Order: sequence, then structure tokens, then C-alpha cells
Amino acid sequence: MQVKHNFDGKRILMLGWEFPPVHAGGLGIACYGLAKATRNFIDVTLVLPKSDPRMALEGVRIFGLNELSEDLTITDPELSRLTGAMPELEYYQLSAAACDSVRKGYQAQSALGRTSFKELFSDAEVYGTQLLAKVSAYAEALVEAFADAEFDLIHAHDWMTYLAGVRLKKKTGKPLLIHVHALETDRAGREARNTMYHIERFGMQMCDRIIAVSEYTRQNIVSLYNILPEKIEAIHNGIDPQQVFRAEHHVPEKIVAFVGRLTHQKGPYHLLETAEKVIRRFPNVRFVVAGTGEKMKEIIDWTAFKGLSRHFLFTGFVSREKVEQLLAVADVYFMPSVSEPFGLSALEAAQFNVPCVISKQSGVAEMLEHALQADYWDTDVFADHIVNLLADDDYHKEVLAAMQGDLQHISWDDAATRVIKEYRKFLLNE
Amino acid sequence: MPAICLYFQVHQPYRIKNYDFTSIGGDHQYFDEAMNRASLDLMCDDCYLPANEMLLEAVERNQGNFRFAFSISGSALEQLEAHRPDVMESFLELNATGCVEWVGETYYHSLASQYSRTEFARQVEMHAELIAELFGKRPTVFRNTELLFSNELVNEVARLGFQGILVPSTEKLLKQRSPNHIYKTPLSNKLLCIPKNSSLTAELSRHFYHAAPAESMTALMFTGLLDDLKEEADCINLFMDYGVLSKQPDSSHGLLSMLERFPKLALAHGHPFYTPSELLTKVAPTGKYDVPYPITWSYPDYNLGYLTSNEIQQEAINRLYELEIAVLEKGNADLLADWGRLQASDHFFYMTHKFEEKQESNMFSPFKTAYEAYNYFLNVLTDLELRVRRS
Repeated sequence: MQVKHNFDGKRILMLGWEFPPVHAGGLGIACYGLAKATRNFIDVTLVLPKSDPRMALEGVRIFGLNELSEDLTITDPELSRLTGAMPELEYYQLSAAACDSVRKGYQAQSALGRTSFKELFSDAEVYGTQLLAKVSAYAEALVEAFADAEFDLIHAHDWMTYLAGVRLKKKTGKPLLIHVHALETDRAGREARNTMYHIERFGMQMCDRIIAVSEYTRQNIVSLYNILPEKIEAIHNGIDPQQVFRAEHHVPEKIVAFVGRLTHQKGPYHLLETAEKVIRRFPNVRFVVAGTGEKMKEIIDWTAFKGLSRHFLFTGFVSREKVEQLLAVADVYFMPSVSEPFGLSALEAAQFNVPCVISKQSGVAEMLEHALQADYWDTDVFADHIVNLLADDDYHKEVLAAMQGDLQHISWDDAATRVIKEYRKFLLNE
Repeated sequence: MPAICLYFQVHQPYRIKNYDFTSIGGDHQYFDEAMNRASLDLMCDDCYLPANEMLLEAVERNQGNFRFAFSISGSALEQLEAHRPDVMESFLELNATGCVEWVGETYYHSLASQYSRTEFARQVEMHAELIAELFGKRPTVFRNTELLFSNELVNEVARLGFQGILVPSTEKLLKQRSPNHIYKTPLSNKLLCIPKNSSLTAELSRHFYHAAPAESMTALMFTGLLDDLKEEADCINLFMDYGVLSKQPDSSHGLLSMLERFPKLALAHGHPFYTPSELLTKVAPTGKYDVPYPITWSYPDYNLGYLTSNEIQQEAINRLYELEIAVLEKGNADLLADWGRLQASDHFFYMTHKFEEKQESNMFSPFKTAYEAYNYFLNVLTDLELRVRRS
């Protein structure tokens, strides 16, 4: 605790969106890990749109804007004018097309008509419908609540909090650091130039410093968002130790596990193409596809049409517990993502002693250097890797051992040290 | 005056539970006992019991001249015997009147006729034996699941000892002839077919379903429709799911009065009620009903579209029937029963996309989506495959 004094009692205001155990998304897990690792060095307050008694982390204040005693009525139905962000977007000379895209995004959602903060956040889901309206309301409520609060630096996680961060920075003059865990260009493809993209780019331009979750993401920020590389620091997240176990599986085939949403980003077509090549060469295999998403129907139809259903199992939505049960029996973990800023699931698989075959277009490929890798489109190489692991037990052990070595270098303490170093630049002018 | 041939089908499947992938290899209880029990109770209390009672009264009122047929699938009978002895008792009471005929079908309400002749014959035989044991007489008339029929089936059904078969009728195949006759089949002179009159069945079902007290005239109107056919009809064949006689919140009075009035009126107008096997002896067949491709009673396309048309239905069925040789070879009773229960056409009906395409939900399915039904079915099937391999 004494280390905190190095910062002369300075305070970090962290802006987040989700937090475990209520939302077990990657962003929540990352915020949790980071807050936990930095709390011994500096005073951290985490502001979320919605708090929950189950969210708790000793030494960190967690504040939900839903706790504000007064509900904010958002009177102007046109949300484009609601945040004050729109004039700023224009002021920063975004192209007319960019402004138009943002405006359309807002307008489409404002038609849904919920206009007070508490109404907007009345759903169980903090994402869900009217997300852009929620993002605006979060920004407004944050400024209302924290304009006069004592803090020294704003640390905003992912695009939902960027507008809020920018507004608070303008109001208070405090430095803003944004932390990029994922990009719209990961989710919607490299060509995405939609509302979310423009909000991200606006945040990147307006902030003082950017932390990217991987070198891969840092390069994407430079090339797809046109931000100077010097402004960005790549800092890998850490990973918490897991209670790992192995279990006997009941199916006689070797198991290749895929865990993730079935969306274009996760490379479902490359999964299928690879699977077909693997099955041809190593028929004693079963791909367990855990997760659901817009591509699920198409993928299931494909396996049925090809008569390959006996080489697959589709689990639908899976709980954390089921994911662990799957990893405990898996022989190979396969992550063919088209674009994966980080890739926590591969690290978790490695912790569960499952060798990974992963796409090079991922942050985790930088960390698990000994995981077998290929460009996401190169299903021949993916198939080679998987067959080699399945067919050769010695090779399987060898890859796993090397990956265990990679894991040794990954810790939240390292991540925290590097983040603290970024804080010091602003707080102590180092 | 044309005769009336009434037939009701009763079926309850064994619905599978939300069988998770982690259960494979460990859990061999595939079926959702609670749900199956609840569905059975609902049908028993809303339909089978009250409708049986109404039919029994109608039989008694008309001194044995009101006659009709039932088929009850083996899986429905198993569940009734296990859980609802009162309902079994009520069917036995109907049987004791001598006015009811029991029609044969596949034991598991399966599509076996399309996929395996051996399995088809096995299930038909199982069902015939159960009917003989419970009701004292082997069926002599057959109905396939969904009335599924084509020429290919003729010799097999005749070989299994049946003299008649209930079949769907389509205008195209009847070639401008009326369904109100019995027909010969092109491939066998041992089997006659009794085509369903779809439009009048729909009309009657509607009356059962919706008739309100003020509309009790409909019995008279319906009889009038039958009277109008006197010139060109031998028999009017009305085949329906027994569920149409379910208690409705507002119309139970209408239903009752329909059943009270219609048999009496029809008899008074000179329409005798014949069971299917009676028709075969009392009505002479006219012409041949040539059905070169499979048809069903499913409206409006009269095909297997709801059951076997999409990729996931086909894959699930193919994998299920691929197990046949091994399951029969092992001869293990549990394996045979589980394999049989998974053959119920209902499982594939839950996998249809047709409701989704129409933005409707499949109200008969216990699952939210076709893919959910498919995934759980395949998990179960994977476990069954393992058991077969290891037994």
C-alpha cells in the first residue's frame, strides 16, 4: 500500500461498461484483472453504467451511474444533439460522410423512444437495444456526477466509454487515456466505417494516450484509424490462474474445441473448411463448436448437407462451467478468427493444457509464440497443424510444453506495471 | 345414401429433453418425463376422457348404429398404460360396445416405410400384437404415419395381412374422380384403399372445434352436405386427429350438441356409419388409385415437406436409420426401445423451418428453434450410437 504514496494520492477514474460476475465478456474480465493488479499502486474508482451487489473488488470503488439519486431525463428525442458530441465531431472536421453515418446511427435508435437514463438501462443486458442511446446517456450522467469529483486521470475502456471520457476531459481538463480492447474493424470487418468506428476514431483523436491490447491492434489503429504510432502503447493483458482439471471424455473421437460467438469475426467458414480437410485425413475426430451467433444456422446446415454431422457437436450457448468441461476433454483448441484483438479464450485453453491452433491475425499469437499458427484464410496449414497434433502424441506434448513456457511470461503484474508507467507520464510528468 | 366412415388418430410421442453435450456417454435417459407426463395429462383431461364419454353416449343412444375407428400409436398406448389407467379403461369401455374398430399403424408413429422395410414390418407387427392383446382383435385395415402412402407400399402392407389402407387424396392423383369411393391399388388385388375426403373432414373438424350453441344447426347443415352427394358417392371418409374433439373454452356445448345431433340426423337421413373394414365388405371398389410418389395428409402440399425436406431433418433421419442393422443385431431391449422412440415423426417435425419461414412459431414443438431440436436430437443420437457400438 505504501507504494500508493509515490503518486501523491493521485486518483484514477476508470470508465468501464461491464464487470464480472454479471457480464463475463472479455472486456469485463480485462477491467477486473487490470483494476485488481493496479489497486495496490494507485487509487482507482471504476464507473459503470450499472452496478450490482455481486460486483466487488476489495480496494477498488465500483460506482454505477444507476445509483445516482436523480434520474436524468433526456428531453431531446434526437439523440444526435443529446451528448454534445456531435458538434465536436463536426468541429474536428470529420468528413461529411462520417458525420452523416454517426447521425444516422443515433437517429435510428432514438426512434425507440426511451429517454431517461434509468429507462435506458432497465434491461438486464447493458448492450442490447438502443446501445448508442445508452452510450450517450452514460456520457451525460458521468459528466453530471463527476465534473466536480477529485481525480487526476481518466482511463476509458472501449468505445462505449470514449464519448464520456472526451466530455469529461473537456469539462475538467484532466488527461484521457483510452484503452482499446477491440475495434469495430475486428467485429465488422476491416472496411467498417460505421457509427462505432467513428466514435472510436473520435476518441483516439481526442485522447492523450492510447493503450492497445496487442501489437496487432496497435497496427490496426495506425493503419485503419490513421493515428500516429507514437501515441499508442501495446500492453498485453494478463491472465488469472485457473483451477484447471482434465476429464475423461466419453466420445471415442479426439476432440477439437472451438469456443466463441458464431459470427464472421470468429472465422466460422474457415473452421468448416479446415474441419473438412482434417476429417478427410484423420476421421477419428469430433469438432465441438461451443457458442451461438448469426452464422450458427448456416454452419449446422453445412455439416448436415455434407453428411459430416457425426464429426461435430453444436452446444448452443454455453455457460462458463460448460466451457471448462469442454476444455478439460479437448485435444486441440482451434481459433481461426479473422481478426482477434486479444484472444483470451486461447490463453484459457493453454492453461487447461490444450495445445492451440490459432490465427496469426490475433493478439494472442504474439503471446503464445509456440501455439501453431496460420493466416486465418490458410485452411491447408490449419488442417496440417491439427492433424499433426491429433496424430502424433509426442508432438502434442512438445507443443503443449512449449506453450506452457509462453504462459510463464504472462501476468497481470507485468501488465499493471506497464499501465502504471503510462499513468506516471501524466501524473508525475515522467 | 352414402355411408360415413369416421376415423380418429391418437398419438403421443416421447419428447426428448434438453440433452446437453456433456451428457453424452453418461446419461442414457433421453426423454423428458415431466413434459411427456404433462402433455399426456393435458390431452387426457381435455380430450380423450371427455370425448370418449361423448362418443360412448352417442353409441348408446343410437343402438350400435353409430360406428367409427381409432388408431392409437404404440408410444401413446405405452404412456396411457403407465400413467393413465382411467383413460385406458375408457377406451376399453368403448371397445366393449363392439362399435369401434382399431386400425393398425407403425408402433412408434415413425417414417420407417420410407427408410427401412424391415423396420416398418417390425413396427407394424409390434403394433398389431399390442392391439390384439388390448382390444382382442388384430387390425385388418392400416394407416401409415401422416397417412403416408405410395404404390411402393401396397405389396408390403398387403403382405403384412391388411385388406385396406387409409390414404390421403389429392385432386391431381384422383384425376377428377371423387374421394367418396374405395379404390383398388395398381399393384395388388389384395389391398383396397380408402381415400380421405379432405374438404368435408375440414368442414366437420371446424364444426367440432368452433361450433357455438347457437350454431347447433350445423349438424343439420352438415348432414345436408352429405345428402347432396347421394348421386355420386359410396362413402364419405372423414379422417382426423382426435385432438379436434378437445374441450374448447367456449364451445364444449357446441361440440356436445354436434356429437349428439349429427349421428342421429345422419342415420335418420339414411347414412349408415361403417368402420373401415366394414366398408371393404359393403362397398365395391371403383377403379384404381395410382400413387407413384409418396403423399401425406399434410395440408396444403400433401407431401413430406414438414418432416424430411431440409438438411438437418435428412441428416438426423439418415443417421438414425444407419443404426438399424447394429441395433437389430444386438437385440438389446433398451436399445431397441430408445431407437424406436427416436423414430417418431414428431422429432423431425420439430426441425422444420416452415414455421420460421412464415414468421410463425412451431406451437407443437417443445424447442425454441428447429436447430435447438436438431442439436439435442443429435446429442441423444450420438449417445445411442456409442451404446450400440459398445454393447
